[in-house]
This record gives sequence, C-alpha cells and structure tokens, in this order.
Amino acid sequence: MPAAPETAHHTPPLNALRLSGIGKSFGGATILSGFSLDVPEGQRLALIGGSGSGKTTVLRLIAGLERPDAGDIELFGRRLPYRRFAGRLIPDDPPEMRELRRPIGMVFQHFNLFLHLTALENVTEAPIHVLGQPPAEARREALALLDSVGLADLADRYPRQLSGGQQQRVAIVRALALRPRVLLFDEVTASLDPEKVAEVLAVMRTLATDERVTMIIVTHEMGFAREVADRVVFMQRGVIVEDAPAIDFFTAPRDPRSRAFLNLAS
Amino acid sequence: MMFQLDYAAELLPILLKASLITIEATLGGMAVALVLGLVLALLRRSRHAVIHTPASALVEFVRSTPLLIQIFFIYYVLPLYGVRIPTLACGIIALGLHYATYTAEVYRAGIEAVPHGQWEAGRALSLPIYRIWRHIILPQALPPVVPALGNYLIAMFKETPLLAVIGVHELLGTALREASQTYRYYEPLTLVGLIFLAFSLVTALVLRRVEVRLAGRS
Repeated sequence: MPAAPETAHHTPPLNALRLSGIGKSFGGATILSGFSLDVPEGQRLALIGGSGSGKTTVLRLIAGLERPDAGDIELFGRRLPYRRFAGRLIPDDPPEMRELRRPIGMVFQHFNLFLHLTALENVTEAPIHVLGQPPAEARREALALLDSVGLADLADRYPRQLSGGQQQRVAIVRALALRPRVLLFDEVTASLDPEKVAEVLAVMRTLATDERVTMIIVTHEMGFAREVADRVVFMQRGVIVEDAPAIDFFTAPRDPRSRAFLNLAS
Repeated sequence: MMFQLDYAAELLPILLKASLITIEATLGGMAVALVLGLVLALLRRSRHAVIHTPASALVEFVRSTPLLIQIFFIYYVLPLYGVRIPTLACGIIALGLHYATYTAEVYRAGIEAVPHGQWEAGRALSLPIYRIWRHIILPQALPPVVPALGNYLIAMFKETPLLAVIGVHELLGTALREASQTYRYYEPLTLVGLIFLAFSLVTALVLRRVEVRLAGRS
C-alpha cells in the first residue's frame, strides 16, 4: 500500500515510518502524548533532546521494545497489528508483527551483544535463525561485514574480550546482517570512552552514504548529527519543539528552546 | 557389643545392591526435578495470571508440606483415582515434585541474573521467542546455577531413605529388613551411613570439578 500522493504532480517517497497519535506513559508518568512523526525512506533523521525528552522511547516503540498505549505505527505503509485489550494495546498477531519489524535494526547504548557467543556468532545468529540463511553463507557474509569495520581478526573473540568501541562495531554489524531498511541508533556512543567514539562514528558515517537505508539517530553528538543528518527533530518533554532540515537547525534554529539546547550541547 | 566385621562383610554386597535403588531414585528424582523445575520457573514468569498463579500456588503448596506426607499421598491416594504406578516410580515422582519447587527458584534466580539487554537484543533482531529462550537466555542463565542445583542433588540423595516407608527397598529399607532378622542394628546402620558418606563425597567432588570447568569457560 503506497502512501497517498500529496499533490497531483509530485509523489513523495514512501514513508519508511509513520507514527500517529502515539501515547506512552510509564507508571503514571506520561512520556509521549499524541506524538506523530513521518520519516521518508532513505532519510537520516537525528532525534535530539535532553534526558526525559522521550527520544529513546520513540526508538523503543518503533523497535517493539515498548508497546504504545495509544496510536498507530506504520512501517513502509503497513500498520503494525496492535489491538486494544483491557484498555491496553497488545500485539494482535506476534508472527506478523515480527515479520513487519524485521526490516528494522537497532543498535543500543550498551551494545547488548550476546555474551556467550563470539563476535561472529553474534552476527550470524539472526541471519541463520530469522532469515534462514545457510550457516556457511551467513558466516561468509558476517566475516565480510566484520572486515568492513576492521574486525575480521577478532571474529572469534567473546564480547568480554573486546573494547567498548569494538563491541559497538560488532553490534552495528549484527544489525546490518539482517539487511535492515531502517536502522535505529540509541545513543550508541554515550557509554564509550572518548577515544573510542570516533571509530564508531566512522562506521556510521560510512553507513549513512547508503541511500537505501533510513537512519534514525538518537545522539548527543551534535557535530556528528550536523554532519550526517538530513533532518533534525528536537524534542522536549515528549513534544517536538522543532523539526527542520539539519542545516537550518544548526545554523539558524527558530525556537528559543532549540537555541538554548544547542548552546548547552556545544 | 562389638562391631562384627564378619557380619558387616556379609551385609556389604546386599547393601551395595540396595544402593543401586537409592541411586536410581536419586537420579530419577533429579531428572524430574530438573525438568519440572524449569517448567515451573518458566510458567511463573508468564504474563498471564491464569498461567503463573496455579504454578505459584503449586510451588507454595509443595514447599509448605512435608516430603514424607507427599510420599504417602502419592503412594496411597493416587491409586484411589485409578492412577497405578510402581512403588519406586511413586518415590521418584514425590522426590522430583518436591525438589522441583526448589530448583524452580534456582532457575528463576539464574534467569533473572541475565541482563535485560540480552532480551532486547534478541527481540530487536526479530528472533522468535523460543529461540531467545533456548539459545540466548538459558545458556547464560544455567551455568551459574549448576552448583546450586548440585547441592539439591546431594540433599535429595540424603532424603531417599524416606522412601523406605512405602516399601522401596533402597539402602535404609534393606538394612532395616536385614537387621530385623538378626536384631543387630550396629553393623547395618553403620554401613548405610558409610555408603551415604562415600556417595556424597564422590558427588561433591564431581560437582566441584564441573563448577571449576564452568567457571573457566565464562
């Protein structure tokens, strides 16, 4: 189901993602209320804001790690099958839900590599058991991906034998191995030593040159966001304060709150 | 009244043979406890009250009643409902059920110790839930709890003499039967104690080795 054309002479690219009227609260604290966001395919969106702004919750809702209390999530024009039950939204069809979310990859602040598996096994787990790839082929592709981030030599190491930067690069490769169409990055450099940040950002910079992949990046690295993102969404207390092309946002932020945030962040 | 070595030597083969029943009851009971305990631990984690409430109730009930009564119950009451099981199997079920409520707690601790991020990574990779359980969570949850499970193995082993009350001819039952013919209790009971001691020590040694190996791996 393609997105409806906005005008007669111009068909916008398919939305990779459409959130509409999303509500989410945790134990009585409302994080998001009536939150809506469209992300066209191929866009590099930087989602920024202070802590408690709801930006990480947005990513987790998209990835399926949280359930919305209200609203709709569409991925590539298909609505995720939630239904209302006892006042909450629950997955209506878990296998279909998983299938629809399969094109989404997520990279976490704390890497979350499988600790009992080697780097290589971390990468091949999903291709073999989700995509049904033959193990030999999955390993070949995983090694090629690990090589592309400079980690081919460390393929047989366990996560505890790797530095934070190395673990995060493995985690990015693990997400890539499922050939995602949307990549979610949740403060992926926030728990790294400063000298390791650059190596992870370098990998992400390379990824951003692939026009087919939509990227949503939650980050505090303003320099990186400015360099890589096409669009910036600045959030505060669950509300979008400013939504602008990255170049405009960083050179001439319209909202005083954006200006205050940039002054603090830079 | 001196300890008579001749009588002890005469008894030893009989008791060693009976100890096979003891070992059978222990291994059988442990197998039940390991499997049923894991099932109970998983059921108790269910989000649905219709699943976790009965599982929790069963665990509380079994833990709050004496094993001896459970043994009698399974042996005398179940046949009234047409469930006919051999005596040793009754004993194995009773031991297994009783200890399953303890191993369930051990499993729970192991599962809860796995970092939450492991679940999230599995879900973010669209892995099916059974795959996450079997290949991500349990392989990390189980090795650390092997020592605790091993302690229950030894504890269960030492409780097998209770099965004598329903006529399982394990070590103690056999020793008592022999003693009742000679009215000498010194030798049979001493031997029973020594055999238990020997098995417990060997098992503890094996468990210690397993523990060291597991520690070396992680």
